[in-house]
Amino acid sequence: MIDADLAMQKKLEVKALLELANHNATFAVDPVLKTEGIIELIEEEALDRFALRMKENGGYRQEGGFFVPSPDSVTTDPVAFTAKYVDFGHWQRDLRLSLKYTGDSLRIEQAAWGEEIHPSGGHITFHLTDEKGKELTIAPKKMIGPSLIAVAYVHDGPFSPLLPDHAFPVVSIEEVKH
Amino acid sequence: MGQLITTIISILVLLCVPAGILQVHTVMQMKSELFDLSYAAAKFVSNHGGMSDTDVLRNVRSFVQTELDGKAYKLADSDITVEIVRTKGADPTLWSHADEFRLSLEMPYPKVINLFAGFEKPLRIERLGTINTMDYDLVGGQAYGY
Repeated sequence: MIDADLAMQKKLEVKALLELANHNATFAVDPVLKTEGIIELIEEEALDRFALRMKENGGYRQEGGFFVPSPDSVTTDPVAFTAKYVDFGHWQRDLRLSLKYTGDSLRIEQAAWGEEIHPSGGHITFHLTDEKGKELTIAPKKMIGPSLIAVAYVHDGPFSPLLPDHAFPVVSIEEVKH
Repeated sequence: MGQLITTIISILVLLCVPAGILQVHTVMQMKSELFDLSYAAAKFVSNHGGMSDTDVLRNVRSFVQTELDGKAYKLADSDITVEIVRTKGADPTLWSHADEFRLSLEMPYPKVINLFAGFEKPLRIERLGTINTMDYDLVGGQAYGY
């Protein structure tokens, strides 16, 4: 019972951390293009802003494709992470993201765009396979503008060998701020 | 006599275990609630901004109060200390677009029994956020010509 509560707490808190970090990241708008009426994200700056907020709110330090927790953090093992930016030319199309978690990394294997244009924004579907080759379900999301997609995969060892691992994906989508 | 004492001690030890589990579990649940509440409150400030420091603090307090009223168990508003400061700001008073803030919520240690004195550090969570509200949304428009 306590273990299930702990897993739920981790899931909600990692989700909250991703949302807060992604929110901060999407303020990295290109000021020059903005004066021309184009809202475009500077990806590098955005990811820096993302990492900074992960550190401030959750005590996580970025190391390659992982966020490494501090002793106070909500997870015990490094959290695998990847991000994908959907720009103003693509956000009205559907996106099918195939992701693979290998244990050493979380990678986007394929990003396939739909043909159709949806004026109110495209849907994103996720297909994540874990290190054992099992496909995990993530609820589809809808975009309402150019967006930054952040995907994390938590894989914590149990605090007792009798219990199962805590392993689950977490996703955050934030539209670019203007 | 020795047997009796052993029995009494065994019973006491046996009683300590569920009490300890209950205590650990309660703290965990309260911490989860505080995580959740502070996240909701940080989001609230991000989305609404504010006219001034006092305005923001008043709004966050009333937001926290409303959230607590909706919870199953009773945590009084007075139990939770809310602090909020702006860490980065463009306008001297308005809390608006791309300003940053630090929100902290603190509650006393949820004590179930008096057995574990000394662990009673208050639970505290800090959240940093960025505001996503324009000046003209806050001041009604006229002054900025929108």
